[in-house]
Amino acid sequence: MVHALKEAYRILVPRGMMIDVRPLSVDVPLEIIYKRGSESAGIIDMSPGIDLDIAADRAIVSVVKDRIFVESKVEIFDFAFYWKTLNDMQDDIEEFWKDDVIVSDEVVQQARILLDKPRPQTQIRVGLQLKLGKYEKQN
Amino acid sequence: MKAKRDPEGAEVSHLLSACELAGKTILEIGCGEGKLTRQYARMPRKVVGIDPEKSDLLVAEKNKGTTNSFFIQSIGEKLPFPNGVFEIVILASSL
Repeated sequence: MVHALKEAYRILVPRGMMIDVRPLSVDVPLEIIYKRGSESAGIIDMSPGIDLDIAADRAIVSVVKDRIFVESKVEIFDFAFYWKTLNDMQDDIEEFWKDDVIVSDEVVQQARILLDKPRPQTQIRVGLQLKLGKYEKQN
Repeated sequence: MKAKRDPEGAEVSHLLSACELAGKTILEIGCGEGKLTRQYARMPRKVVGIDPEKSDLLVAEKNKGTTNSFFIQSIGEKLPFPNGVFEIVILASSL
């Protein structure tokens, strides 16, 4: 990771900006949303990705400590994915996040129960937290 | 991906409030299918997106909708560019 940051440093112009934006491995609810409200089906376990978060944060700290970048802004904000069906969600998790998240059978079962209720415009929502850091290249 | 990803536009909104993209030369590392790239690509002078996945880059290229966006198969640890050519580097969930 530090090597990638040093490559970013190399190809940036003097005082160029590096933006690091990535999801945080913070447990989040799986929500069933509909026209007039929402219900939680339970919590998605994001803990498998914590080690990667820690490694990424350490890499950033390392290049800031080495004074090749200076931190100018860090913020955390909400960011959501929506699916129409549980199968679609499970397909995406299997393809993209298999090693990063755990959705328990209990949560899937509860989501299925909530989705089966006759309500308009029902969707599955998973709201993540994204961290955006802005760093200026130093000469 | 079957999901609707960030239809509220939170990611690009926070990106735009963090830095001025207009007229800049930008490298996006980990562009994937270019879903984020497409949301801001009309502003910069030039955008280059890189990703290791060729199939994702084909989707990004097909849907780019601008003439200033370019997609290249590469990884962040070995960037195929000379020194000092980009004004902004975006690490898009790729660190």
